[in-house]
Amino acid sequence: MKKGIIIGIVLVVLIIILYGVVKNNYNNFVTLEEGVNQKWSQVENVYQRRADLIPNLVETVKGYASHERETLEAVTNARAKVGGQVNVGSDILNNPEAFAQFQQAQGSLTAALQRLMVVVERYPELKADQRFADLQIQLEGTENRISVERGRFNESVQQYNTSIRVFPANIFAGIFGFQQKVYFQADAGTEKAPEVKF
Amino acid sequence: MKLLELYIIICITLPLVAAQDNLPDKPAAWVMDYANVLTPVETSTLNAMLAGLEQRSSNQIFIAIFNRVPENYYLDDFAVRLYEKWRPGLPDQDNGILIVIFIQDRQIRIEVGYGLEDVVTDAQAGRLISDFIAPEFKQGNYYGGLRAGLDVLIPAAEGKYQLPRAPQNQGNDEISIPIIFIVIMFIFVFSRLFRGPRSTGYGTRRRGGGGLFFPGPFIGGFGGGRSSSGGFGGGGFSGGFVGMSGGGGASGSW
Repeated sequence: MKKGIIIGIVLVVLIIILYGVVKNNYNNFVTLEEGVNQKWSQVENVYQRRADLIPNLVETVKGYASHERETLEAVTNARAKVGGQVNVGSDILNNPEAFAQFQQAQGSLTAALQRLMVVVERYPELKADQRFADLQIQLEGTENRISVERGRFNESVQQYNTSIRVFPANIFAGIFGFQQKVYFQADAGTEKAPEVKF
Repeated sequence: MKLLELYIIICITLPLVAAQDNLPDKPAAWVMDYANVLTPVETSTLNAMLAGLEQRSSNQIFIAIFNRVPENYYLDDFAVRLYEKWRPGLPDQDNGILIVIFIQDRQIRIEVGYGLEDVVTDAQAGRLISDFIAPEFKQGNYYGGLRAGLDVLIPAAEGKYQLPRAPQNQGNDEISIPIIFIVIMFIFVFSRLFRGPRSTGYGTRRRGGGGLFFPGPFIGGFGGGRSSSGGFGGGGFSGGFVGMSGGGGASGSW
């Protein structure tokens, strides 16, 4: 009978310890995952913000530089491709292919916009237009927001991925089905600073 | 377990700490002139303007004047990091603005927190720099530029967050479930301890009952722990916004 009591107490203590470990790990994963999802919605917001700016921008540029058709079309097309992909939800974070596609579409829009901003340098009247000046500032601001939110998103994914990969948390992460999430890589072509030619 | 947590925390915070090393600490005043371009009277006048704004609306505007952009930083990145460290505005509203100026680099950035993005838009911040601040800075009149900028910026920033919100109470539901769980376990153990010697005749049958009793509170307690994690996640969610700017605002040079 005494043995039974001791075994009982040991079992109770073990269960309490096990419960504590599992609970800590699980709650930690959930908290970090929620953090990642929240940062991701911020990333989507700022990309949406950029997409919303583009029709106005294209219209304004058309008014002064209508024969830059190719550059303008490139921007419009790139935006159309992105249009179907904003607000894709946080499921994409578990799908590397879809995520790579998303990043590629956004990257080509960035490139098209950069080309447009180079082209407009040739039109002093356009640059003097207050409406265009405002749009240009908004676009710069949005690009800056994108880089800020992307950076924060990457930091949160790094935290989350680390937490589910370290031992022994990786065991519980496996049991509860927490997967590693994808994050932004540097865009192709932006690893080195653009050359400035005079 | 504790060691592991400590290790994870150190791993996560170390790079952040290292990255923030060369940023100045949050100041006691609104205007920090590290480059010594303002006279004491000018500094205190600007401070008084910003103190008034904070009293009326709880919005905070900080001004930091440096000589050069530190190495390994560029303007926009530096402004966001400094904003995160200084956290202007109420802790849960981000109703703050940080104006960072680099005299020798001739650069300025107005960094707008999440809470003021709709009253101070990027375009407004950009015009503020180009139309009000930069012309004065060009002539070396730093006080005049800041004064002219604040005369426009302060009315724009006002009219939001009039009353500070009551501090959020951080519910400690977390602890209660394990405590209930432990209490149940102790009651169970003690009831067995006391009952055991008295009824030796039914020993085997009671032990069988105890074996069945075991999984009950375990599953119940565990289920409770899982559902409570939802609330905890929610707490972390709102915490994520604390002291942040999403990169809103504008940069300029003169």
